[in-house]
Amino acid sequence: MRKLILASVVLAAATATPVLAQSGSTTGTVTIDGSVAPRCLFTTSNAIINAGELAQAGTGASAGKLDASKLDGQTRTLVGWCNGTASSMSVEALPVVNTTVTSAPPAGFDRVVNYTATATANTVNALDSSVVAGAGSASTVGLFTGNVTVTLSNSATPGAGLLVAGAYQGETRVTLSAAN
Amino acid sequence: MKPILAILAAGTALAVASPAMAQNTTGTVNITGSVAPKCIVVPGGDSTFTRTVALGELAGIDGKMRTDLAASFNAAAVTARVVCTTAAPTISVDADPIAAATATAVAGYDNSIDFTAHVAVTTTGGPAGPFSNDSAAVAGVDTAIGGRVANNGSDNIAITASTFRTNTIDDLLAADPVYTGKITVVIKPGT
Repeated sequence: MRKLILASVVLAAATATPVLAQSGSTTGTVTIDGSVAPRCLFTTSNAIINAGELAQAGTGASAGKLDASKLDGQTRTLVGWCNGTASSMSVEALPVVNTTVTSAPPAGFDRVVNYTATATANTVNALDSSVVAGAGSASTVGLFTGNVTVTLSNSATPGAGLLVAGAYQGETRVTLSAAN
Repeated sequence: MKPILAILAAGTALAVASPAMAQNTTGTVNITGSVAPKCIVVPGGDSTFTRTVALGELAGIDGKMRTDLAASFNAAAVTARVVCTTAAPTISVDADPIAAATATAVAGYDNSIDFTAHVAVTTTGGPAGPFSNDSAAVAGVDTAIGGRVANNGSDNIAITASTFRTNTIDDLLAADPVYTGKITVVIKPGT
């Protein structure tokens, strides 16, 4: 009986040897860490709308008043991107004002043209009226790269009066805010 | 005369027989042992080693993948010391892309960076490899290193990387605070 037990031990040892060989390997792991911060960038950051003569020509009742067609429908294209899923866009429309005559105009005249600016990116709109100071509400544009189109509409003067002669200048600001 | 002759003959016989009765005995102790085929990390004798390369911000100022990622990785000088008891160990390399934890890719964006990992081995016969695997390919198979790994007190495994890339060169990287990739190196004793 003892011989039988000894034989069993020898068999077990012989079986264990291949297991040791299999577990003899070594594994090295190199972990590579990194991050990408949320960002937005305009690669084409400005455009110019040269509206020309803002007042209506002719001799009719509207002559000398704002020609809304000079601003309404004007579209310019900026180009940019945001890499964060919660990125947003806001617009601030600043009125088109007479920079030559800066004093308050007499009754019946206007030296300010208000309008609404709408920016579209990633099929999302953000808009603002120049009547109200400050930027409009932000809209989430998320992750996008490509065009940001800016369109003007609803142009009007505060008193529907005659436009004071001079140079006029306004500005529409589009802000892309990165978030993830 | 005859009796004397008989006694002498007997005495001679006894004298010859004596050395045979005082013979030496020899004991033998057999010492046996074995060395299992294995590869281990030294110092320590562990079966694994772990290194981390922190590349930091992966995007450049233009939002695309930084072009100096290979230089940054290789500047980390990732090395290890592995020894094997066998003459013909094998090695396999598997590179996994550096992928965003949560960010998804959309048109114009990528959420992972592929690269090629290289593992150079110093053997007793000199340099071997590099043994490479690209993260866009399937894992490398066990390949003979080509000799015993060197046991000269210095690190004998050097890991480098190259060809970091997004799907297209113009892809922007999607923002994510966690991008993680991995290189796995398995060294086996071989046969």
